[in-house]
Order: sequence, then C-alpha cells, then structure tokens
Amino acid sequence: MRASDDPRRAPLAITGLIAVLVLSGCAGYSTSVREAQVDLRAGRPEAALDVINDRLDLENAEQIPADLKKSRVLLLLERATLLQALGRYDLAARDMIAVDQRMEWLDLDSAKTVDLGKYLYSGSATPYRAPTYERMLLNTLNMLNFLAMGDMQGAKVEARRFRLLESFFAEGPESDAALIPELLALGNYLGGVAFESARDYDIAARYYGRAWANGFREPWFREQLVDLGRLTGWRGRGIATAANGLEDVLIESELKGALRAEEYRRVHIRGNVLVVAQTGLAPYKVPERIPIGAAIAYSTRHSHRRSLTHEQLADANRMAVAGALKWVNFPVLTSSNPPRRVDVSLDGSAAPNARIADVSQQVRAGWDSVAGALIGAAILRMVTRAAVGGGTRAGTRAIGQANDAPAIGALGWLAGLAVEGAMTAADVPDTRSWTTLPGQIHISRLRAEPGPHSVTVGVDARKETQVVQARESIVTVVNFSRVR
Amino acid sequence: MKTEMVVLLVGLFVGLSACGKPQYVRDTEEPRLDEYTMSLRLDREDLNRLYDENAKRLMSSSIIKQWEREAVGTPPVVAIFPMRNETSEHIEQGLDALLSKFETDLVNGSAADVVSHENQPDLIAEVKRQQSEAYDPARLAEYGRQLGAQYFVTGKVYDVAEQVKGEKRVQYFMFVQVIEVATGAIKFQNESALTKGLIR
Repeated sequence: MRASDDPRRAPLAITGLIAVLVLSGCAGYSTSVREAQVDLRAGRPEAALDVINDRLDLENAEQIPADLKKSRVLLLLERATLLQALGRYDLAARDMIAVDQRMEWLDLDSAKTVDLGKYLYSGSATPYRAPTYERMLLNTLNMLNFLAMGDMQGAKVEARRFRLLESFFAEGPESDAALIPELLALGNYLGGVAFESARDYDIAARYYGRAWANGFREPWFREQLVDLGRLTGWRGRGIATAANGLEDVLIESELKGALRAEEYRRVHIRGNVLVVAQTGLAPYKVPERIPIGAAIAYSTRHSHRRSLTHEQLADANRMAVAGALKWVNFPVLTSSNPPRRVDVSLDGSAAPNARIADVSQQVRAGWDSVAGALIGAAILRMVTRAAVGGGTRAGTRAIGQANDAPAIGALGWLAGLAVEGAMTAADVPDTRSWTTLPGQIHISRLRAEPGPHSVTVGVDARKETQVVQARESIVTVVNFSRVR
Repeated sequence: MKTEMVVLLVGLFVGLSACGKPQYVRDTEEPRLDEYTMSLRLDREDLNRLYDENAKRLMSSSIIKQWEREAVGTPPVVAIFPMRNETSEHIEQGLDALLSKFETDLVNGSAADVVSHENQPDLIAEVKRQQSEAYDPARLAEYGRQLGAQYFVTGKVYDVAEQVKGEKRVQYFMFVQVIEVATGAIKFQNESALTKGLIR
C-alpha cells in the first residue's frame, strides 16, 4: 500500500480541509471597512481614506487600482465618497467616473437571471452588483463633485446620465418600485442647478420641475420655479402637474408675465450659494445568524418575490423540526441612527435649510424589496448543504469499505459534519454595499454679495466652516460631508 | 488517495477560486489592443474616424481657400476653441485630442496662423464654467478680440443615449465649425456621426 492510501492519514486530511475552509472564509466586506466607518463617524475622513487605500493595496489617493474586479469597485466608490468629504473633488470625480463605467457594465451584464444564493454568499468572489439607488446616487454625488469645482460641463454630463437612469428605472417598464421620490428630487434639483448655471434655462426648468414633482417644494424653490417659468415659458411638458401643485406654480408664472434673463440671473444666480450637507451614515449590511424558524417566517411574509416553492418550504420545515437546520447566516441592515439636527449659517447669521433626501429610508426600502427573496435563497442553500453533508458521509463510508479500512468509514460522520460545518463557516454573507453613504442630505440656497463668505454647517454639536466664493454669474455649490 | 481527493475537491469547490492576474501590455505585444472597444466613450479609433471625415471636408472647403488668398497680405489668425460636450459621456479629453489633430492640420496645411487652444487655460476654464454662454456669438467675438483671432475652429457633440434591459446605445453627432469672430457667421460646418453600444 502506498503511503498516500494509508487510512491513518484521513483524520489529517479532514483537519486540513477544515483549516482550508476556515482560512478561506473571509471576514466579509462590511467587517473589512469597519475601521474606515469608525473614522468617518468620528469626523476623521483622512484616516478613513488611509484605511480604504490600504484595502485597495494603494499608497495614496492619486493611484488607481489595476482592476476593479471583485469588491474593488465598491472600495473605490467608498474612497471617492471620502475624497469628496475632504474637498478633493477632482480625484473624487475621477474615481466615480471609473466606478460608474464598471457598474454600468456589471448592471447590463447581470440583467440575465442570477443565482441569488451565489450572490448572497459568494461575497468578494463575485462582481459587485449595485442596487438601483446606488447607481443613481453615484451620478448624483458625482454631479455634486463637478458643481463644487464649478465645472458645469462635467455636471451636465452627470445630470444627463442620472436622467437616463431615471427614465429607465423610474419611468419605464423596468421601473424599480423601491426607488423613493426624494432620491429623484435630489438628482433633478442638482441637475437643474447645473443647467441653470450653464444658462440652459429650458433644460433647467425640466429638471427643477421633476424635483418639484418628486416632492421638493420649499417656498423659496417655488418662487424660483415661478420665475423660471416666466423666463422660459415652460408649462410643465412631460410632467404630470395637477396632483403635485406644479400646475398652480405654472399658472402663476403665466399670470406674472415674461421675465428677462438678466433679471432672473440677478435674483437667482448672482451671489447664490447652494450648501449641500450630507449627514449621518445610511444603514449598511452586516452578517447575522438568524434562527431557521424566524428565517422561514420572514421568507413567507415577504412573498412578493418568493424564491421557495411549497416543496422547498416543506423540506426546510422538516429539517428544522428534525434539528438538521438550526441557523441561517444572513446579511441584515444596521439600524438607522436618528437624523442629525442640521444648522446652516452664512457669515454668522442663521439660514434656513431643508432635507431634500432621506438616503437611509431609501436604503431600507431597497433592502426590504429584495430581502424576502434573498432569505429564501439562503434557506434553499442550507437545505442543499444538508444533502451534501449526507452525501459526504455516504461517500467516505464507501471508501472505507473498499479499502478495508474501517477507520475511514468511522470517520464518515466526521467528514459529513466537517463539510456541513465548514461550509457554514465559509458562508460569509455578502455584506457589500456603499457603506459611506450619508443618512440624510440637506440643502440650503443662500444669497450673498459676490465675494468671499464664511459658511458654517452644524451637525448636532459639531461644526464645520468653509470659506466660499459667491460668484457673479454661476451658482456656487459647496459640499459639507466631513462632519457626519 | 481517494479520501484526500474527496477532501481536496470539496475544499476547492467551497473555498478556492483561481483567477488570472491583470497585466499591463503595450500595442507591440498585443497588436489588436487599439481595436478593442472598451467603453461607450470616444477612443482613438473613433477619433480617427471622426477626424478623417471632418478634416477632409475642412481642408477642401472654401474657407481654407479664402485664407490662402488672405495670406498674400497678412495671414488670418485662427484660434482653436474647445468643443462643446452636450453628451452623457465624459468625452472632453477625446474632444481635446480631436482638436489637436485639427490644429496640426491647420498649422501644416493651411495659410492661417494658428493659436493653440492648449495655451488658453483661462478661456478653457471659462468655457467649463459657462459652456452655453461661452458659445454665444457676442462672447465669441470678445474672446476673439482677446486672442487677436479672426476665426475660431470649434464644434459641438450631442448624443442620443438609450438604455433597454441588458443593452445601451449612444449615438454621437459631431458638428465641426469655423466661425468668423467679427460677425459670428458660421463659415464652415460639417456633421459626422458614429454609434457605440453595449450589447449582448
């Protein structure tokens, strides 16, 4: 008998298997970026940036990864968000453009039916597929990068990209019901600012009109929309105006009569400063062990995208009752922190601000829309695994009998347990998501004389101040996302 | 042996995935490198195609002949003005490269004196800030006076972008123009088009 056939080596091999499986199971995405999260929460985006660069195996933010496979595309997106918080808009825009291109590819590539179980657990082994809201926020926040740089050409490109996604995901037959109107209001409002500053007033009116229709209806915005209607003669074409009050706005525009471009610019462009404050952190996915009974109940409750047949559910219930299934490893969302109190001041004087988008709500809505189907896939995977474990036990028993080596057969049960247990250990739920997204986004549109001004944003007890240059001919856009 | 094989196969099935590492290559190592379509933006193949279509028309146009006649006295000064990107793709660098090719042709093949757009950073910054306004004839005349130019070579690119499930198409339309600074009159214009897609 050759040494390699020695049945005494079986325990060693099984131990090796367990070691391989345990070592191959990584900690998961959200765990790998936890340190950066802590830094960002504490108002240290510089330190968070170092962490992300380290995860990307890069020395600094000027470098870009050699490829965007696996989770790198998401890490690059996290880095771009941190760079934006640090005011390094050119690098943030560069990274977001790269991520956008990659996500576009992955999104279209994965339009075919996917194996939910695979995507639920394969973690960093598979390409990252972004939910719709992340795709749209990517264009929205990159628009913000270009606006903050005063690059209206780049901002308009991002606005058009946002609009293309909006028409596909919010208006077409492939609509994503989980998209909340506030997200559309934010993207359209910033798009309006871009086209307005570029003096493409007709297009600006359409973007602003959609922002209004999607729920952003601050009194000062109403005044602006009335004047834009007077300037352009836009009467709401392409937007349902009756139900949302836009009709009244446009009637007022008509009644007040035409407005000259110079007058519009004097009131709504000259010295205008748009403050965008991104606060808090949106919920993100973390791994959790859920009792099998609770998982089955959850899957049954969320039946609008059921992935388990009645037979599969019956199998799962039988195994749960027999004790063969006890837990399901599953990604869950972190709980949301209460929204921060946001105060804005210009040169020391308090100024009004309004929440334009609750990103946390959007993330929860997006997760709720898929969680039922995903947990169904997780249960199915557990059922399949129980069968694999049984198969391994039978296989090793047969090997033991064929080699006249009872030790192998005796170890069959151990092998089965090893396969089941180690596969469970390796089942790190896919917790990938855009973890540096803000919880809420507020805006404040201020008016000042052209020239330098001090803008302070207070987030609860913490404050950040920036000196901004109010301009004669374009809206100055300033981003605050360092203090969350 | 069989035991170890079972163990190894299960281990490989569950825990390991091998993938090739990316590597940098140059066109001499991978001759078809320039032929691959890697994005919906304009690459060198696209730029060459657009350039060939437009340059041929421009260099044989009446305005080039007019410059030859004017050059008998004082050669006209022609400034290259950034092209206007009205698309949903970040193609600014590609457009700058295209204008540089025009610049080369005008320097070598026309009687005009050429002012490079790369030497006009303030102008480019202004265009980025107020793109639409910058192309207003009155504004162009002002830029022209600043640069001492009588003509601008410029253009604009539009697109029609559409997405359906699993596929995306971007149709580009490019207009190359020669504008007379004093009057704002378009002395030459040519349209060319190309389409890029992400399809199955």
